[in-house]
Amino acid sequence: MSAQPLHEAQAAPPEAESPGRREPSRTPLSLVRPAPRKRRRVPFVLFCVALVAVAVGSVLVINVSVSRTQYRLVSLKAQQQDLSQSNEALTEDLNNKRAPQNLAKAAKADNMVPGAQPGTVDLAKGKITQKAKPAAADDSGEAGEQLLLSAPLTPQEQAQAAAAKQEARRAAQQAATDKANGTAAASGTTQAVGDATGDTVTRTSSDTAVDAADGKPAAGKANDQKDKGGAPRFTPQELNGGTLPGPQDD
Amino acid sequence: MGTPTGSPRTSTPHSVGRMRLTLFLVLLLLVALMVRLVWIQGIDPANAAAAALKARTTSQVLEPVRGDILGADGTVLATSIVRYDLVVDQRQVKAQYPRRSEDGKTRVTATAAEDVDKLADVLGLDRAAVETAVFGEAGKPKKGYSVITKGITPEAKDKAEAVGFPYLQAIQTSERSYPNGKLAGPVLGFLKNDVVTGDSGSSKEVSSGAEGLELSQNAELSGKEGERVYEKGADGVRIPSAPLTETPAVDGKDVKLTIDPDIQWKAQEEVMAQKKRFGAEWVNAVVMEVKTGRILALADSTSMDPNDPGATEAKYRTSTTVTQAYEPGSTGKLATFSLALQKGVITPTSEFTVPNAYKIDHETINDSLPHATYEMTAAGILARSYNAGTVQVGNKLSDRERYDFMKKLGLGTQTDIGLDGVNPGILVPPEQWERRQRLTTMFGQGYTATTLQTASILQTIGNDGVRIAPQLIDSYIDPDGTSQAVAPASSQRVMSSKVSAEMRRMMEGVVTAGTSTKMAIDGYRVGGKSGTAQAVGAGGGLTEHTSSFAGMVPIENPQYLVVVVMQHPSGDWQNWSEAIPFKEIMKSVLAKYSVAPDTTKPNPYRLFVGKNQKYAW
Repeated sequence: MSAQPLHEAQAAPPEAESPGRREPSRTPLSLVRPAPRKRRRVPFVLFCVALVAVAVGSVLVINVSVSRTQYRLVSLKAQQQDLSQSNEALTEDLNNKRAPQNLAKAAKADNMVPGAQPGTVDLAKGKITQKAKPAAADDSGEAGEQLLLSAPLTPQEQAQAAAAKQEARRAAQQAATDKANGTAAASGTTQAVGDATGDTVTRTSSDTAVDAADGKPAAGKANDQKDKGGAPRFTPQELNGGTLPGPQDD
Repeated sequence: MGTPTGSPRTSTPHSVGRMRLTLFLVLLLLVALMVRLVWIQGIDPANAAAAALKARTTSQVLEPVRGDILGADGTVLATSIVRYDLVVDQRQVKAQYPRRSEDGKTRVTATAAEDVDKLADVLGLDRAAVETAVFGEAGKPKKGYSVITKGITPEAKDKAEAVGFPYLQAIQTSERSYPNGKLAGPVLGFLKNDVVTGDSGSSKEVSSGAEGLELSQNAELSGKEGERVYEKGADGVRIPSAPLTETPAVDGKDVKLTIDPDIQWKAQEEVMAQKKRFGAEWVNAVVMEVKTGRILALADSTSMDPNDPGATEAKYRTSTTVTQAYEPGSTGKLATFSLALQKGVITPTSEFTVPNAYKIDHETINDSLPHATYEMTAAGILARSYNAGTVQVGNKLSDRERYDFMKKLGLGTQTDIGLDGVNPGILVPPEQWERRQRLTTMFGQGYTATTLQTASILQTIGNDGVRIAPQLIDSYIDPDGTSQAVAPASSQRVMSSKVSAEMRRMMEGVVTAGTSTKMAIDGYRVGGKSGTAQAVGAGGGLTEHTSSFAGMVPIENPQYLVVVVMQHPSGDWQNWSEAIPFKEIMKSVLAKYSVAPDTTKPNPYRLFVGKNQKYAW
């Protein structure tokens, strides 16, 4: 299309240069309508657009669905965490209530007494070979006495006791650091202060099996380690060039 | 223009040269770059790639879950529970930060001070302590890892997180819990924390058993650590496309014991009551299944609560039934009489003249109470526990014979029940027995034994003369649930079946007409042996005593045995009796295991020679 007007323009000057002369056989020029190419392009363009739309749309849909599933996963994981937590808590409660000391206490509270000698029935002979004896009333033997074996602490009481111990330990450490005032090493002093509750305040790696005085059950599987002074110590691997170990991928 | 289309000489020689030069230089640079690239990445003499990989690669330890300790019926005696430590990075804490309001509609500015107060309230901690932990102390450098509180329950952690303090981190830890408190506490033991420095210089807190089963079974209970090796970037986030190798942790095995928690409870209650009753230093008891040697209870009057071991004296953090060896006293006569019957030097009805004091080999052996001289059978001597008669019986045996037999019965020998610190007792070889000691060993003095060893002797006599070593551990349960039963202990015939029957009949006489008539239980035939040994007191002299009773039921075919030992009781020895604890414990065992009452009548031997059996003590 662009070629034609030029053609015509180029065709024009020769006529202008010699106006009088006439070319003998000259093709009459007429405007030719261009071929209807527009109609063939529309579907193609539309097709392209549609393709792009579909591609983008499907990516969007997939992304949205993945995100939604991811959210669902997170929420289900949280739910699972919740449920296993409450399961553990209930199991702890149950184990505590099941302890023989607590069962005996509950039985006593219901005015139950230990059974006396049971009777025996001989099934082969079909008769009672031993008569059952009635249970002794509360006044005789052990039944009237107090239960001696102490019941275990409930999980809540246990947690409170642990918190109290930490408090005492912290207070002792505080007192020690106040007293020492930078002369002796922190570890030496805290060891010297010793027990508020019968436990040694700090542990070093040297006093291990023999020193059972600090028999606090294992609390430790903390992901980070710290030395006795409270300042953290991380390996260069953990830090990986940073200042804090990165979050654990779990 | 006018130039015809022909040779394309459109540039001057100078331009061509410059272009060629430029091209050459560029190519040179490219080649240099390539060489360098090949050098760094291909040949890599400095191992830069390896170093980078090393820096990226982290290995994370996957902690195994420690196994449980279970009772015979599956009761959980020791387990690990999830707890949390609340920590904060003091360097990150800002005084104010934006947050969503409670209804979630607007953004509000919250202050750290307020949140810290709320946190202290919710956790029930001292406000000042929490503030110090979060904000640090004045004049001190800020810590990256400051502990607010340790070992809180998941519920408390949820409440703490609900406060919304953004710098709070909750780190999951594991804590050992003993749900039954003092029940079988000394047998279970407890854990300790050690700081272990690895080869790379990193230190780690490792928890392992300190006493009891936690210590002796630590290898089975601990399991094996797993490892997760992955690559992470400098910001600490895992690189997803990098290789990840994971060796899962192998959880520890559960240890199932033969201990019956109900019987254990009853036994502990009874020995505690007995200690109060007689003001003793300690009282312990062992309950055992006669036919299998399985230990149903190891009871101590002072028991440690493994949740708080520090509250109990060191001596009672382990079970006295296996750690405390003492001179057993008259229960030791069982060994002497069994051997005498086995060797055929006496029969249960052999006759002896038993004075109050017996002179032998420049030594005088006295009985506890002055009595007239009696004509008694061997059964009678055992029933009345007369030392003067016992040495006559024992003197028919050589020292070496008695020593060997006592060793066979487990005296002076280590008993392996899966616990550490078991006391083998002291039994010196007969060559070292001094003049008096060779006589006193006939009636249970001059050597030491633990309550468990006495129980084992009784088990041998009760099990038709076949000794089965005591067993405490029933099985190990893998994390996937498969149970591996511990192979039953080897059995060894120590005395003949006939001797066992004779001994049991003699022991019945102890309860029907001898020293232990208070031990009779309605509906059952009881047999046993009492013991009152002299013990060294605080001053160093023989001022104290060890009083005991070992009995089994039903005596004609024993199922269960109970040994109760009381150390250093106070008051008049004639008042001392283990009747109440023995009967109460034995009755609860018989009831629980539905042992049918006896249909046969007691059938002891005659104690005295002749028709008259009634003689004063």
